[in-house]
Amino acid sequence: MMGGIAVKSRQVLIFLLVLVSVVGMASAVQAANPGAVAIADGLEFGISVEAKTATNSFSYRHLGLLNKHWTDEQRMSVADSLAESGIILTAAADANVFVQYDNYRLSGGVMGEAEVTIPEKLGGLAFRGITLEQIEGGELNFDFSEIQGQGGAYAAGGLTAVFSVADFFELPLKDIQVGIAGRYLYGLAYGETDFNGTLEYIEEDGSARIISKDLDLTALYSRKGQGWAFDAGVFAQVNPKLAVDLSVENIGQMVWTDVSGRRYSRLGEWEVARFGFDTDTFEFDFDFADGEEIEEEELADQEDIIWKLPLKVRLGVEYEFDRQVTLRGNVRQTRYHSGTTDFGVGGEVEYRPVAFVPITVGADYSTHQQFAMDAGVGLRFDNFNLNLNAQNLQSLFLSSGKGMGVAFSMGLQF
Amino acid sequence: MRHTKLVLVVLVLAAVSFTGCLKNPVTGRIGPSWDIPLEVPLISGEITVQDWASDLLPEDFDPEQPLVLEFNESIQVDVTELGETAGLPLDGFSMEAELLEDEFEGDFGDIDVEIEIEVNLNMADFETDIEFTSISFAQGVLSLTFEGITPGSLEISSITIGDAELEGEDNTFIVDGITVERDAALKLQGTLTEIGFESVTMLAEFSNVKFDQLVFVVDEQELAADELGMEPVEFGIDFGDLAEVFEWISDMEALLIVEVDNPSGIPMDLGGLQLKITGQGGEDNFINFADAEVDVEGTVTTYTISPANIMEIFRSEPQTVALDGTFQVGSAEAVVIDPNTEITLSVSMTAETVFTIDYDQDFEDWILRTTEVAQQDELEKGLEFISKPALFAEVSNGLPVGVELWLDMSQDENDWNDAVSLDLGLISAAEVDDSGRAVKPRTGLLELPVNDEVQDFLKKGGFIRVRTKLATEGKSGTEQLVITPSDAVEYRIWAEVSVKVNQ
Repeated sequence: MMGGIAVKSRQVLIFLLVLVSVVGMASAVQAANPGAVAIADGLEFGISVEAKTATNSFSYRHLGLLNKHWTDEQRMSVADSLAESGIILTAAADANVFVQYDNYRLSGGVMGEAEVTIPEKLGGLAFRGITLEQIEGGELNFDFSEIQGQGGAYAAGGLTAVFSVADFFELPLKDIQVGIAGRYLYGLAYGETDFNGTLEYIEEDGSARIISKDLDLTALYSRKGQGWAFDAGVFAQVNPKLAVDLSVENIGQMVWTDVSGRRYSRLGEWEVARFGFDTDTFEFDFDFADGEEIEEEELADQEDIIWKLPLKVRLGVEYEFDRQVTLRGNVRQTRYHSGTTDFGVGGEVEYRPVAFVPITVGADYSTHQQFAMDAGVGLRFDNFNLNLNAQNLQSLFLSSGKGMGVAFSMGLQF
Repeated sequence: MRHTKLVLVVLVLAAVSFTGCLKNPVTGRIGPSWDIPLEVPLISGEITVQDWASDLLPEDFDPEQPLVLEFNESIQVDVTELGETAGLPLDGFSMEAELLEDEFEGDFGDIDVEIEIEVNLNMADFETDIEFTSISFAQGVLSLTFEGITPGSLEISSITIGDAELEGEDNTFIVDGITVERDAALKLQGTLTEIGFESVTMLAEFSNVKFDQLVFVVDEQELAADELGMEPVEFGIDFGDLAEVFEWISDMEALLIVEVDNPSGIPMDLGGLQLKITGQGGEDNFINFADAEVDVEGTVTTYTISPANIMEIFRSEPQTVALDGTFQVGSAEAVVIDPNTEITLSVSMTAETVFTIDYDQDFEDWILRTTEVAQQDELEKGLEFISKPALFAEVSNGLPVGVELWLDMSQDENDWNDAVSLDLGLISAAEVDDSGRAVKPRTGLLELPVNDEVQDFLKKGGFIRVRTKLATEGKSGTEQLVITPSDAVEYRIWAEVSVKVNQ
């Protein structure tokens, strides 16, 4: 009896992709040190597009497998690259335009960010499969609360003011700028999931049972929200080669209103599936729950969702070693809405074999992301810049890294 | 500008090398594909010999010692039926004596009135078909009738038999509690209203009797076994799929003990009896009491037999055990018989599972079972998303014999000539010590790949059977093996499938 499972293999892949594409609000609404904004000489216009995605699992060495049928060894290589702390996938994109006149910049744009976290034990099933030893060892129990997802899209519009204050202080500095920025955030769409309950795959009386307990999935969404965010920062050009900047970014929050949603739940313990074999009849005994007893509930007039922006304090330094090499470093701390704090430190070497082709190699450590190497290449002209950056997490070497990320940015100003 | 072009070329090359070909060459689809291996436990358990033979084990046994199978049944034979067959007067009896006129004592002068008479006899004067020494009545009625005289003219009102005095009316007397000795003096007292006869024949009839004891001479005679009125003992042994295991065994030690407890005192010689053991197929096997060692202790006679045909008996899966043949009862001398007892006949067969296997013989295949498999309509659909399905069974064999197994698949339940056979594998015998006892289980892995042949079969439906055969594993000659109750077979069956991803 194999009825009831008419899922095609392609759908399995789609399912896996859907699983990792539950959107979620990630780390940062577009923010930067307003103190580092270059003061314009008159009127300037600019446009920028940025997109990035990163995961703490998989690796660049697996890119060669993207269009291949994997051997068991390759499959296990992918499985071993999954982050033990949970598979995190983030994606963000934004498009901005600005108009700047001398010290004031008026900007607006549309952004979207998403993040999903899947426990490694659950995500690993898609690659490692299930062994009898896992079942017998009681390893196959999954806490759905470890699955998290948030995401949203919003428009932002704001004003940045930056001033040079070197003339006001008698400091041994070439220049020092102070900037503040305020942004109004208008929510376009927001969604978050709250998943609870457990799933356990056990062996009982020789047969396999999948047991769910207190399954409860709530998906909340809103198409209306607003908020404010402020940034403040200082940028100091100590001498022609050395610059230092300090900023506090994303002071503020968004409030999503008119929140509604849908809840799927089945409390208590229930059997999702059972697989057995009747030795008397030589028949397989496959029973699947039909899902009819999962309660579906429309949620309306839910409480507003208040999302505090990830507050980031950053200290950066940049040293132009010579015409072709620039060194950068930063120390930062980010406090997230969830209450967790990420401390990070990073360094980067930029090498310009040609004046307008910067090639960067960097290393970064953060308590969330562990160790990461990144490398990038770009084009940089006076009015145009383009960057492509790749990140390899947890290792100096591509062959053993876990995680990867790519970022693309392009800007045009005149 | 030349540098810009160079960078763009590098970017394109990097993108292509990262993504490989545009399509997966195996699936023809975009994106990677792989198989997710899943192992699904289906059934597991342990069967011990003790579990299997729980109905056949003695009350007390040592699980580490050779298994002893024991079949016990006992029946009671009502002595009344046997006694009647053997000629005991259990329903009553009669005696007859001739009384001559001159044996009547009384005043015969006045014939117009009744006269009181007294007749003195001896019980030995009576003629009877039964030869008894004494009879003790628990209850009974003695009725006297007289021939050769006008009915009613002789009324006996009192009878003295030995020390017992009976008072009665209408020539009828209650004999409850008295003992009649064959040579006891008998005195009749009563009235007579008629004279002038030469002799009177007195018929003494004992009826509605129950005896406390008879001292009796039972005629020596040969009776058929069914005269015992013994219903066949139901054994109902069903070894199920394991029945044919006995085909593999050359010899086995077994003992049949028939215990006859005969407190009735009726002399019996069961040497001519047979036990008729009827198997599941209706075939009969016999065990002769004549081959038995006989031991008598008190009222219990024990017949101990080592049946030479024990393997045939086991193979037949005994359903009933009945007595057949003949037996002797009776003795030349009087014996004390208690007709209120029961004769108990207990049949006990014990078989110690120390057996011999001749590895040089040709072992027959043993069909474990035949099962119909319905057409698997959805198999095709299921195979769209799974690949390489297979069933596995891991068996840890704690028995001292090993087996090979096959799976046969046929469209016709009665025709297996064209069946597709899959070799499932070998389950090796456990390691044994010098006595042939299993000391360390061996584990075997059986695999049933759901290959194209199996898939074709499942799509059509049909019949499957599991066929097994004793695995010689290179052994030859005879080997003694021992089965103990603690011997166990552990098994677990699981399915392995690979879930196709993007295929």
